[in-house]
Amino acid sequence: MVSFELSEEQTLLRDTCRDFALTVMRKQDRQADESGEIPADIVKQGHELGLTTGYLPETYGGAGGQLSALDSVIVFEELAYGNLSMALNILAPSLFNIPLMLHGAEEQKKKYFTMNKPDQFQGFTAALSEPTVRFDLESMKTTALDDGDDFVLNGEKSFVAIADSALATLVFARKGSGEGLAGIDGFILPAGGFTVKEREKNQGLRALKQFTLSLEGSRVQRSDVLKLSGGFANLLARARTASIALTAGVCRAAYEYALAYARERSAFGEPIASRQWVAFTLAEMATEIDAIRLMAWKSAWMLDKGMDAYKEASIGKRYAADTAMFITRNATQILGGHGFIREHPVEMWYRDARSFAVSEFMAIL
Amino acid sequence: MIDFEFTPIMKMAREFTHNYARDVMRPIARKYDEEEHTEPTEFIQKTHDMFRSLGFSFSTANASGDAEGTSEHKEKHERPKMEMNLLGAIAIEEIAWGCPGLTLRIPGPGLGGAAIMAAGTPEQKKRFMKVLNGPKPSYGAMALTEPGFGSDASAVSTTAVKDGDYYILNGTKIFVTGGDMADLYVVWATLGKDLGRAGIKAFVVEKGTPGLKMARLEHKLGIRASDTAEVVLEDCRVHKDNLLGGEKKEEKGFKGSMQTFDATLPMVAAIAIGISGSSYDYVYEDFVVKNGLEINYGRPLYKRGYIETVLEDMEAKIHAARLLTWKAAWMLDHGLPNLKEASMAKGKAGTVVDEITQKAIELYGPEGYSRRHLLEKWMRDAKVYDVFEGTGQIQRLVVARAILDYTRKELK
Repeated sequence: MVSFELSEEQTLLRDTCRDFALTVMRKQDRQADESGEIPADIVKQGHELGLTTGYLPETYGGAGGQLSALDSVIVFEELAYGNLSMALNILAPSLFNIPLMLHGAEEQKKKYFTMNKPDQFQGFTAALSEPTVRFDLESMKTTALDDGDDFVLNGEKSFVAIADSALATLVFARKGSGEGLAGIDGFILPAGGFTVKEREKNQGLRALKQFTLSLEGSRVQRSDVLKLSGGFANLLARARTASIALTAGVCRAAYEYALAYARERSAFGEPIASRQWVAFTLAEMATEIDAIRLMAWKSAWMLDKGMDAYKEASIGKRYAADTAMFITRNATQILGGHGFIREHPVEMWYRDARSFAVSEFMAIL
Repeated sequence: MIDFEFTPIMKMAREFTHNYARDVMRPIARKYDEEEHTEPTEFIQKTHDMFRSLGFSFSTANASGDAEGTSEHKEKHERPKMEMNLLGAIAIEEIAWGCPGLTLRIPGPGLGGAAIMAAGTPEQKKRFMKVLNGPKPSYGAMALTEPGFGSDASAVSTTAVKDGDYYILNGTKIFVTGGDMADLYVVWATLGKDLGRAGIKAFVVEKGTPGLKMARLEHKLGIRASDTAEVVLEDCRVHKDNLLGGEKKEEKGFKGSMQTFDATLPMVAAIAIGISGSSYDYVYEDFVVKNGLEINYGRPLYKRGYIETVLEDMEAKIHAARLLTWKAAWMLDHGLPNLKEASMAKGKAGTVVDEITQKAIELYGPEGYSRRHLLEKWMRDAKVYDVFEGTGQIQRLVVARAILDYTRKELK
């Protein structure tokens, strides 16, 4: 039975996260972007809302919540509506947790999830992209060679969030040579198991700490190999579904700001919103945000039903990323010169939104 | 709870209408495009019989906007939720995939019926729907547009002058879809220009009423299988019982009649999506299926071919428009105000269908331009879906007013 209605719990969840986005994240977004630092308190508050480990079983220190892709996309839109860097920081441990939840052996879950402590909840991350121009997952170059006892990893990874403080990092690498997604597995490395190199400096996402990693003969025990058994594409579908929802959030932030500005800003004796170009552009932005959100919902619904959502999620991610440029560019345009000035957040959302088309990250829902 | 699972009826309707479109409509689509103004008599009868045997009235009229207020609102909620608008959107997308011109030829309540359901009294709904859902193929037309206006429905200049139990209608109506075959026309007229919008009423004028004349048929860019007529009313006497909503509810006339579009916009959007799908499928079949290729969804641009990327873009746009349309239809099924969402869906679908049908020809090369193939027809057919029932610009205006909370004066 088709329905576009949030359940009561989902409504509560959305409102709670929206409130967090507006009253906590937005208060420090610009400062975080300028300084490159996200206040620890914000991440902690996110954790207290159950955003980092809420879905883990109670035995492993979680809240025993359900792993629901639909609930997640509703939450993610709100977090990104607050601030994308902060959202990705809060969600970074999920890059590790979710693949482990879905594919990990019981001993692995026990070993790592119990490392979460009340004051240590940002202990995990994952490394996926590599610093090659025109990077493509299918031709991922990091290798894991079986030397009998352990696996030996060699390669470079890029854009690894919070790698400097993680207790363990899930590194994706290829066993042997070849191409394609099927041969990729996950390898868990403790802190110090690789070299954390320089911090990434990006156009946007400036508040989020990301690093390049270098693996030069890093050794991984057999018990720390996360066998994906061909499940890599499904993890990507989950990641891309999350990406669609995050895109909707950033777009909505830019759209709402431009809408409010257009109502207040006068030109030639009347609000610029009463001019058709401005009004129609806002109408198109609103329409596209609805469409992006529905794509996230549909894809998440498929995941929750156990359906193959790879195509749905991939199409949606690309569409959303493209449309995010339309929306944030025009939000900047509606503000005119003020859109270019860092006193307004719109230029930050424009920069942040550019990341969606190029970033591949691991499943966070 | 968010859900995208079709009911068994929706699944059945989708499959059935798709097969019907493929087997019955596609083979004759070119013929009725080339032979404009030829009535597809056999198709009309066959389609009528088919829907009748299924007990499925192919219209938006079954659960459209509620202009009656609380009593009927309640009644609507007590009925089992058939989700007729969503079902209609799903089915008509498939039908339109067969031929968007013939789609408009399908007998049934049509736009006129939708207006009756939106603005009529219970008695009127019963009386007129009996005609429109009768044993013989019939059609309800909407006569709104005039030579002097299109989008601005409040500019109606056709007059209605009261004369005892009758109203005398005078005026010219153009762009009446199905105006050649209608059994009844919903004619919009004004009781007096000085009354403004409050004076605008919708009257049901039955075929054969003296003074009602079909003046001429338009020659069009596309949807040639469907005739568009100019209808002239000359001292046409219509009984007061045919004033939609009744005389007592005069203040609701214009608004009530405008609610027709809450129900019809998602359907029009669904048709546009169906056409987009035809063009997409046609090029997909040729590029991908015939060559044994596949689209590598999710691969970066630099690892893919241009056409592969364009096809994925097309699919994404169709997907976006479809979800917006389903949502708008679903809202109406559940008694939620959907004016903004219906306009979003229609505006988006209108843009998407033009883009996709144009691009498909380019992808096909010179052959795409040839009338040997249907691609050129679909591009011609598509254009009207960004024009009628409110142009894409009017849809954006409606959405913009809603999001800005602006009046007609604040945003012109």
